[in-house]
Amino acid sequence: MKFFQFKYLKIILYLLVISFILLSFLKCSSSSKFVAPNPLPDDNRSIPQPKYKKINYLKDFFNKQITIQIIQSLDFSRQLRHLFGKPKQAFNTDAFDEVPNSSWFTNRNAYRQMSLKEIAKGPDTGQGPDTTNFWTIKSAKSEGVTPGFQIKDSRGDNYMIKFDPKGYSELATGAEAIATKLFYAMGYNVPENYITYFHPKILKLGDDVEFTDEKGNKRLMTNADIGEIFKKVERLPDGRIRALASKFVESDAIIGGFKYNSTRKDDPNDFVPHQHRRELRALYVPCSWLKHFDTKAGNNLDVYVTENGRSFVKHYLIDFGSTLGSAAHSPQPDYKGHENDFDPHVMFQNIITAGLYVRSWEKLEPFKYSSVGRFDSHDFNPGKTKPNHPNPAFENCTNRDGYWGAKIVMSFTDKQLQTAVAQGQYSDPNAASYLLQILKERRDIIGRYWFNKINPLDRFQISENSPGQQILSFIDLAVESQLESKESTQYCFDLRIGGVLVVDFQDIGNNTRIPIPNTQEQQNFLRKITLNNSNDLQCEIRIKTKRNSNKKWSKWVKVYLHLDKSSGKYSLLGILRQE
Amino acid sequence: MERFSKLLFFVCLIIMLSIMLTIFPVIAQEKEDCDDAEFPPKMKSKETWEQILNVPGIVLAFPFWLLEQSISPALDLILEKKLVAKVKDFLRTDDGLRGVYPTYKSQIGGGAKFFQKDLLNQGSKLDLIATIGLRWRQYYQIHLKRVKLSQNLTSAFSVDYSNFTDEPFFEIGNNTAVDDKSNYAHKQAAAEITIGVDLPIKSYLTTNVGIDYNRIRDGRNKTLPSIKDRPSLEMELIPGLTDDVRIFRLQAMLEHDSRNRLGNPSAGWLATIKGGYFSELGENKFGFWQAYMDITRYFHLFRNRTFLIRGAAQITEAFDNRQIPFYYMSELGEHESIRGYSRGRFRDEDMVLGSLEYRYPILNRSTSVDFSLFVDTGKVYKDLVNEFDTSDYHFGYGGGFRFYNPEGTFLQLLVGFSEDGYRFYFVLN
Repeated sequence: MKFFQFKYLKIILYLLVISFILLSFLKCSSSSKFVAPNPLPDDNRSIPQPKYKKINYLKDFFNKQITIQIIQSLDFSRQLRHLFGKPKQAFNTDAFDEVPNSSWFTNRNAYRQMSLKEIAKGPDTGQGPDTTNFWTIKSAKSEGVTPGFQIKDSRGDNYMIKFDPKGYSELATGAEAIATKLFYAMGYNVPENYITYFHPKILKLGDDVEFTDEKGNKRLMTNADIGEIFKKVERLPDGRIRALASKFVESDAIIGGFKYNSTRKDDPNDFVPHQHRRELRALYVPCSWLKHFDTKAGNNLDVYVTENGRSFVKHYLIDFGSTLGSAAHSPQPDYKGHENDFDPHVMFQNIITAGLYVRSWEKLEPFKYSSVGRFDSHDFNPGKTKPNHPNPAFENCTNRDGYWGAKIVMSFTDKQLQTAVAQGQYSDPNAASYLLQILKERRDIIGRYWFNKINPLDRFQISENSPGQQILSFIDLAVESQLESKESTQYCFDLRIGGVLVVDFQDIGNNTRIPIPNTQEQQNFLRKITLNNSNDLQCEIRIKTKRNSNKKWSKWVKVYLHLDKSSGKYSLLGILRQE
Repeated sequence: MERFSKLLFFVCLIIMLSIMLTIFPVIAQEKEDCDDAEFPPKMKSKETWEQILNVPGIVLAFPFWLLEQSISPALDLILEKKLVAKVKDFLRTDDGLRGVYPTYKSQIGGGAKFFQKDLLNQGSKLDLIATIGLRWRQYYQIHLKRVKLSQNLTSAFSVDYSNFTDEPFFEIGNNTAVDDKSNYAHKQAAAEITIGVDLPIKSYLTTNVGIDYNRIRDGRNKTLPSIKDRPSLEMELIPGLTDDVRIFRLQAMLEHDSRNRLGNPSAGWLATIKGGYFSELGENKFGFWQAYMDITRYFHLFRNRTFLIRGAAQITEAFDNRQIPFYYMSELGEHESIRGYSRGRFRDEDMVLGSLEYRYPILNRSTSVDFSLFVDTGKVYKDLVNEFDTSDYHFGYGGGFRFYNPEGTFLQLLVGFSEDGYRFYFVLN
């Protein structure tokens, strides 16, 4: 086989590759005119009920850890995109780089500040299971270190009851309660999770309850099994047990978990590949904040629901026992977040550096609070955190996705965080205040990191300053969140109308209001550029930011305006952020 | 002409692929449009040019995808039926006192080890090992250990049978040539009784009496000459080659193990000092003394990086003008001595061995992986005491992986290099 020595073949292949690259660049730069993406259709249209799809964890692991890694590393188009700084952007964003509400995500705290009451309430619709009456055990598991029950309370509600690992009271239950409130406030669909205190005597074994023991054997459950399970669980001095009651998601049917890549074939509403959904890619950021690294398909849930007369699939994130400092069955191991569970890259680096390079997590001191576990901020690098297993959506997270995720994280105020932490019901106030402090520190680290990657100007508005004089105003999220001071920040802009440069590099200091040409000025410009044959024109304002801490001008944000020549009024068309 | 046809073939192939990749999504889209007219088509994650550029990647990843698809029913079964938990449960009792696990070592081959703890008293253990290897290599052992006789006194009993059918032989001496390799079959049956006493400072003193029955036969590795293919005169020069030898032995051993942990010790000592008297039963042809010392010191450098220094020496001395069977002589080569050389590569009455090893973690989990870099050196002597010099030492070096958990090292994958070439070592325990 001497095909590859055949120089003509090589030349043709090279030419093909180069022509594809050129074509892609031509496509990217052929027009500076802003074209707003078509709005995505609703994804809650009625569909027939999809079948239940069981996730095989081993197959999912093999697929994410091996097959996808090989395909991605040999994906030349992906490598070329990264080489030229043009990664594939999310498919489901609108003209303002935002995500519309869908069956996946609802804009909440970053869109409108939630009240402290709303934060505390989260997704809850009630008070949790009724502990004054009997609970009927419907099923149970003794597998793993942390056992669990499925119960039905006197109100007829079904809950999964989960416990803290022995020796680490409040660890998993506290973490799951807090993470639930925060993920809900971010906009994700989550189940109702309640911290509950109950006495074991209220448990009643249901009829024909199947029990899976530690050896994987299924058999009918006995009272002795309940006793065995409680041996692994911490008890309060009064004999009660603290647990997390996760209410079953109300639905017509549970149809399995969703994967972080491809789409579900039997759901026509699911038309955006999951790895290209903004809310799943950007989930990387809140996951890094809350140390939610167990993002396997098994920790997601698709349910078939009927809302407002429509039956469709709704997508949930579930099981937050492995968040903050908890790994559900123990505190988070030190390496979590720094390395995948199986990480060939790190292994290779370790081999070739002969162990001389000491990783930051190897230097960690023992953690302070057993109820908080391993939750630190000093070694936190938001761009380098890794989930337990490679996550295809996270691996496609671009700076723009990360910025969007950071906006959500940064939307939480100190008081909101304090309220969320209070939902963990920690008995030690020092542990709670430590947790709150770390959450704030990690939040700010995330803000600094992602707001440095993307120019964090947001919430653009056009208003009339004086009759005939319109201004474009914006918010600098880094200043708003007090990561940077207003005094140490300055902005500059240039302005194009109809593709012609009208204002060239104007430094406006720390003023966040840009005057845009009034009607008289427009007429002058339009006369000059002789484009007045068209009634509609686009105006493009490119804004950059400079901080005292970093003397360089940042990446740009382009704001596109529509100029209605007849009225002389501008309206916002959309924005584009430099990657 | 041939070149032109190849070129044409490839151009056509690329054009066809481009067309296929362009058309397929269109067909799929049309089909979806027909089925569910009100729903938008599923978005393609890649544009056509990206799909074309990605063809080599897809081709290379195809076997893995195929593997994933083909093993997925098996994975389903494993998960559905909880086979891992069931196999574990099947191989080990709930209390962990009895069980079976696989074992492999290149010398003894692969097999299983059955154990029963606390059989006669707490701390006692019965091991039954049965292994088999290439060319019908066999090894069986029944070993009952730590049977309590009194407060500090314990005893042990063992019966072994081995039939190593293709043991390599490179002549006797330190400067033997690798090309002089032949092979022999060594059958040995042994029985031993040991009395031991626990000493303070993590030490254990034992004394044992045993009987070995040895028989040498033609090696079964037909790619090499058999040791018995040589002329009878030469055969006489190798003691023990033509005789079936029954040896009575009386040995004493002092063991000290102050390693801080079993899986990846990072501090402490592991030392063995052993002396023995060996005499042929019924005949006066073979008889010798043997002294052996092996000391390993573990140094913790930093953050689980460990440095090991090992020194070992063995002296074998015949008495009353008797001989030492060649298979009781000191050996160098193989996993436990100079890695990179074949087992039994150097053989003589005495030997000196030194080893430096640096171990560092590459994956720290519940089951962790270390990488080790090592240099081994050693030499065999006819008479270590009187002929000791530092010339002609043999060196081996290499590295590899050690998989361990808190209970111990259970898998080693090493490669050793030497002037003879390289050798891979796979040890499963």
